[in-house]
Amino acid sequence: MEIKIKPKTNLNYVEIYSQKLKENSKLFSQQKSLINSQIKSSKSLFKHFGKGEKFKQNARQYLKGVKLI
Amino acid sequence: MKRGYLVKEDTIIIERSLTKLDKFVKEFLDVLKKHSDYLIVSGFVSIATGRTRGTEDVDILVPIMDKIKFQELYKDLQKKFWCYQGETSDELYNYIQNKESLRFAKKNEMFPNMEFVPIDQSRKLKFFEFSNPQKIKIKNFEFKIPPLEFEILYKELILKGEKDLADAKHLRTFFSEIIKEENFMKYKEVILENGNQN
Repeated sequence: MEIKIKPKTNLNYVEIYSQKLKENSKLFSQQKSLINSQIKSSKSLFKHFGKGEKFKQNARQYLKGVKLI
Repeated sequence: MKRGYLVKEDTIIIERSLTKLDKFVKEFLDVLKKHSDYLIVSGFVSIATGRTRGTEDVDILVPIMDKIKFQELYKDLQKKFWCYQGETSDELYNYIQNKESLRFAKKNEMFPNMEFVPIDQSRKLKFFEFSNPQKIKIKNFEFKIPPLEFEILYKELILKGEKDLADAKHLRTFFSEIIKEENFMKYKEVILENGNQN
């Protein structure tokens, strides 16, 4: 089904993309790249926290700082 | 062209391969399922079905369990995960009793995390969606989510943030052929009646 809206808002773009994704599962590969790269970046961001008990100690200090715990 | 999803019996099958986020959730569920029932809600429902956005946490509703059961679950989870809120089963169980969330991430990692939300019948909306699960499958990863119409309305009527409205738009568009007007009417009533005590 061809969508005839001219995108103006963020929601218009969401609608168009969702429609195209529904019609063609190959587009999921773009989504996969974005999600995987987000996770990869996040891992490298906290690498300097160390490992094991040291990691948890640093992580909890950070989480307190950003009020997540 | 292959469509994005199909429905087989009572399960929605999403036609894509697993992302790292899916693998993380699957790993957590593989442990949790041995000990408890659950329901995945909120952002991951939209992301799992194709919404292209990042997330740091995946919300999961888990019925409140007794202390011994929680100890067993936590012992199992500790093999691969760590908990933001504390180390011992006793201190974490206080959160469960107070119906406060716990967050679990993979060892030596911060994000993503599973937000473990303890529920019982007093949390009426959460308990309602938990009691009416929809099965969804991506390759060998099968899990339970709320009814699509409920998830859409919850985002539109209760959460209402920009991100939530975009998630709802995605779900409405992607699943337009299978969502049902009568379900919207039924769930709208439930949500409006109990929206202040979710």
